[in-house]
Amino acid sequence: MKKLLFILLVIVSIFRVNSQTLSQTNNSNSSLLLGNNIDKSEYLFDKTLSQITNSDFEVYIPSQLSINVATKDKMLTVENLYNFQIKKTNNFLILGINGSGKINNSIASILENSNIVGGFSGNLLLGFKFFRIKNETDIYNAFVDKIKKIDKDDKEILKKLKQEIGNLGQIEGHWFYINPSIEGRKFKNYFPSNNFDSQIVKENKSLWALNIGYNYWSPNIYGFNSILGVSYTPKFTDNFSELTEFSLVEQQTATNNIIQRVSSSKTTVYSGEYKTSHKQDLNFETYLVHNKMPNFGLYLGYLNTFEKNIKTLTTFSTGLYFSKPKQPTNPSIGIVVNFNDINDNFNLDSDKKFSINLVTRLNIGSVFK
Amino acid sequence: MNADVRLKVSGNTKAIPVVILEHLDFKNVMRFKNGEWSKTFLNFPIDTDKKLDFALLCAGIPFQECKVTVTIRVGNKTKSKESTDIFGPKGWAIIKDELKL
Repeated sequence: MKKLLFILLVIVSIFRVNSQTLSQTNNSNSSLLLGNNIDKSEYLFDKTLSQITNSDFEVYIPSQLSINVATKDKMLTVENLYNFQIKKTNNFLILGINGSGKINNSIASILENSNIVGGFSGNLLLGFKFFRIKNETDIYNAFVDKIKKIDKDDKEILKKLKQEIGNLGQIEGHWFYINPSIEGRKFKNYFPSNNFDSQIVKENKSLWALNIGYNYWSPNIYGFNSILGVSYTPKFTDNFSELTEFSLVEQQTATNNIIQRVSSSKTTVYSGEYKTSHKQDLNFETYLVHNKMPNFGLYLGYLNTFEKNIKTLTTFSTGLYFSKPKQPTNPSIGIVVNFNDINDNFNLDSDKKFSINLVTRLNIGSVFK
Repeated sequence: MNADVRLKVSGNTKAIPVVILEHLDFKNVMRFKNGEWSKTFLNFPIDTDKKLDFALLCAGIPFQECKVTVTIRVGNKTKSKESTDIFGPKGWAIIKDELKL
């Protein structure tokens, strides 16, 4: 099993040479229609009348399961997101189901002894998304009135009409969501100063979080294509990332009078005090892409973490993301700088106050893909 | 002459407030399903010039591409055309094209 996971990781790394994730298309959203208001003409287009039976009008099969592989996070995610359009409106109900497997230990220790410390996570997403167009009637009238007089090859005049309509009004998106998740943690906690028999403690914990949030999108606020988000997350979490990873070698010796046999096995362990705690996160985020530089995105985040009887931890993050052409809100990679504990409540060491991360996905943007 | 017409618009489009076919305009007529917008008109009257004029106003994320596929069927013959436009800085894309029968 461990070998299989290792081979998977190698394959994933090879894929990564060409792409950040295996799935980067816009089509990762699939949909179902609500109720029985299915457009019969769709079917009549595909079939002749004689072939149609009543059952043809009832089934729409959702599709496009997406598989994301992030080698940096050593994570394989299977995602499916359904958009249910509410009859003849720009309102959608959202249902998403995700599952992922994660490798927690360092690449170096995997390469050295093929020993994988794994974890799993799963989450459910329920949401309501809607789009509004300001001055929709004016835009409708202006478009209908002018487009008929324009020749299809007159690109300049079409461009001008686009600007004129933009001045009349623009679209904006709103998204409310609730996102419960569960994560499994399984590893060996190592206490070198304990008695020999109690040096290794197997930990097996289930962690959870309930993420409730709102996002707003506008294509143009002072020239910026903008996504703003606020979320509140009560959670049961741990300090696994603060533990120190070791590779432990165990040797067994068997001997008779002539031959001595030594066998050794390697295992990955973590030292440090492992703690779980109840916390609440309040997170404000924004992602901005300027019209003049569509391949660069600016990320700003302000996260407050509350814990009972403990002072608030405030983290400010800023990041620069790089995206492919025509994909401004779906960046490939970004560099994020975190300033931890900006209020100096915890007297953190200087090396913990500041961190730079290379990130492969933008969570806030994914909702408007 | 009448023909069956199907419109499909890429799923990255967020709203399609207006669709114009020949001289008729339709408000919010497209439906979102299976990851894309679609609408089929059966027995749609085509002008005597034997081509279908179509225009769509679409809203989406600036600099993404809006792709419209129009398919027309007369009798057993089917013809298709794909037109694209890039969403402008204020999120609008305009598709205006024609499909000859």
